[in-house]
Amino acid sequence: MSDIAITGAGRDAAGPPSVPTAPGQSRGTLWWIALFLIPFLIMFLGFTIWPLLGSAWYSLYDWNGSTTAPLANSFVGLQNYTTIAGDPNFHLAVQNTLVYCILETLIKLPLTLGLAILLTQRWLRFKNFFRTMFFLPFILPVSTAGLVFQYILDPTNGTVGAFLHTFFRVPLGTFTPLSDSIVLPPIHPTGLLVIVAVGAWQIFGQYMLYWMAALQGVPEELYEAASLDGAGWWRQLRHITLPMIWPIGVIITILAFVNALKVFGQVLALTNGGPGQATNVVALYILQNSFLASIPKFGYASAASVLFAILAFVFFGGQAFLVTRAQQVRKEYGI
Amino acid sequence: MAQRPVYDATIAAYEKLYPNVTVRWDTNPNQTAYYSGLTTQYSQNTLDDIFFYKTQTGDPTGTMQQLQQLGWIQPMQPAGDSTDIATFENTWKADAGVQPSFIDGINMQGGKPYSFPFTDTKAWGPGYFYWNKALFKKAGLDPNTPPATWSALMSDCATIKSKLSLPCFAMPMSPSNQLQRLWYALSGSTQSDLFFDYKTGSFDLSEPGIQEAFTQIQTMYNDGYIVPGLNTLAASRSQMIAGQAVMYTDGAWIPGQVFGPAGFNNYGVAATPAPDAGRTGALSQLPTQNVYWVNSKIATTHAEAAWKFIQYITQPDGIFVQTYLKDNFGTLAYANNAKYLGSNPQLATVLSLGETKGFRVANPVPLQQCPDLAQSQAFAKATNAISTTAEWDAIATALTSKSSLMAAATNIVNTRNNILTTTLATEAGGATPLKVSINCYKFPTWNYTQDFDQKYSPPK
Repeated sequence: MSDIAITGAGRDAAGPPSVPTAPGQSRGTLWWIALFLIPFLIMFLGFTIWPLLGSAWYSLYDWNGSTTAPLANSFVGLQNYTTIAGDPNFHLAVQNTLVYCILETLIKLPLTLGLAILLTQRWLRFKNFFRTMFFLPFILPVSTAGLVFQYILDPTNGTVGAFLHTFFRVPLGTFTPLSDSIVLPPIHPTGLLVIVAVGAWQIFGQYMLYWMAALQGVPEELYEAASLDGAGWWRQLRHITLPMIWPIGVIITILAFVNALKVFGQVLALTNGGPGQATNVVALYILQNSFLASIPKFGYASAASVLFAILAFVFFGGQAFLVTRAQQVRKEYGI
Repeated sequence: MAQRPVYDATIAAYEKLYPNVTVRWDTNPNQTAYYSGLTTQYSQNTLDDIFFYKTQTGDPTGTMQQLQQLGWIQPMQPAGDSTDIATFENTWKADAGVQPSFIDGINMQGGKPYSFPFTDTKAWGPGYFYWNKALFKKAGLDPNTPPATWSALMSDCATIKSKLSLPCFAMPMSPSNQLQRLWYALSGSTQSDLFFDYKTGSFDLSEPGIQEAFTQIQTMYNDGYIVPGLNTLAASRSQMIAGQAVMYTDGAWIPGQVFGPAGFNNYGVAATPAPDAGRTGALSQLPTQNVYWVNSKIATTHAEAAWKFIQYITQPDGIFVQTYLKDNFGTLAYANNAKYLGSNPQLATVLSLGETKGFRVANPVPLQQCPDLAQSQAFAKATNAISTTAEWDAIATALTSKSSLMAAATNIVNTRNNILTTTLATEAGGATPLKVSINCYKFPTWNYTQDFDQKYSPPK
């Protein structure tokens, strides 16, 4: 999705592809367009719109999944929503999800931008090696990354604990970042900070590529002209690079935030939402109330999904607004 | 150790006896995956004719009621079958303790049995203390003398920590309800091991014994006597087996299913250390081991075969009993366990401990005093209204944040108690009133350390 948005920027500058206008060709072209759209539309309706509508419908029932669809006598109206509204675990899950989004975005974007700037410098050697190395964590399955960090952070047998024990005489078993607490509301458990760090580490390569694509879209002539005018690297960065990538940067930032909202795998693999519910997030909360429950509460979980979807839509709405605004800015810059 | 050979031997013998019947016994070692798949299996008509189900939420004695509400079950005995249940039951009382085998509202309804007690004996359940004898010896402790009191436990842990640089205890905490492994063992020596107090008829975490047990766990945790981290059940058991922890508390199934024959001499089993002032409570025994149920969508011909097969595997001297017990998988409610149990000395100790007076006692069963509770939703609503793991979450949070349990627990128990009381009142005053009240759950004269006399009548 992100790649399309970025590469689409270049196409916009050149204008939309020409569409044949001859009457005979026009109808044929429309058929082709429809033909190519059908698979997407089927997938979109079947796997996005229908589940969304289904969730909204299920959320009005006390449905445990024993029947293929909720029975009429299990209709409870908005009761699931009122119950969720009073559930402190849901509040905590939403809070943790937002904390994760903000922290992860604040960590990964500046770092990946800096790295992308570094990796696009002409003087740097072994660029491909560095790019590959930074991209590698992204290839790892989330569960594998979670296991790796569990081993690294294990209080008794972990690498970090052994390092601290060997070099700083910290007793084994006292370094417990996944289960410790710090008094810094709302980031109560240190486990959440670990999850943020692991999440940022794993997604690092992806955002580095986004920034690199954005940087490579800056016309080289601008740098040459600036050099002729005596502008150094820092001034070029401030007055050319950053303003030029700003419109795309807005898109990347919003994408980063919205993608982080879906955090799930890292939490499941590292803490399973614990200790207690301290590091739980919305996606895991939904799963716990549906498929992980011995008697699934699909109606209740659907209500939580709907509320979460509304939250996500708010951000998507914000994204749409900002993207539109960014495109206007881009046109002003003539790119 | 896999139970597959027991099933295969039983099936082979049964199919030899009834060549026109084919039995397939599915097993799934992943409990979470098993339970989460049941709903889909039922709705898609792929659920087995006889299926295993032990309630994970709500009233532990309300499994039949829960499954009936889901529509998943039907009586084990098919319509038209002439087996006399009374006679049938009499063969099953070998080791059923004070609880009768068939209880109306628990595994019987309308004179029809829906399930049968499987492993429900005084020995079978949580609350046993296991220790690594070699590591005890290495620490300079007597490998044959486990700590009998909490202060002895702390002293031994201090010795182990200083001599071996090991955290004394393995304790799973992920997910939080795995804390039950240590919780049941310690709180069962102070009160009952449940969060519902049958003396007062209320959810209660404020009772002094409960608080005392939590304080003990928190002290052990803060002193570094518990293996740190968010350990899963598998991780904690591995730590015990790998010698990374010296002590562990868990159920009667550990010798047969975790340690195996190799552990006969390496590990000791004993009653969990008691408070220094002596035990004021006991482990709970409730008729909760009715775990095999007949699928309501079973074909008529299969229903008759299923009923025959159930009778076959519950023969007190049958091949299933003999192979199951011989391989040390645990105790069976309808068998003479001592007669057939294998040569596992730890299981022998478990059996002996189970027979110790006051070790595990029969708790009151409200359903027996107020039969209308079978139709009541109150307890299920109270336990499901907020997370069913809320108490465990509160304990885990209090432990790791080094805070008081009371602060988090007060809201939880107040919510549950309010829902229980108000729902019971609503049900008692409804259009078709039920004879239920909060008094159905109150047994003020019951002593935590004694089997409850089921003939007791609650206050009106």
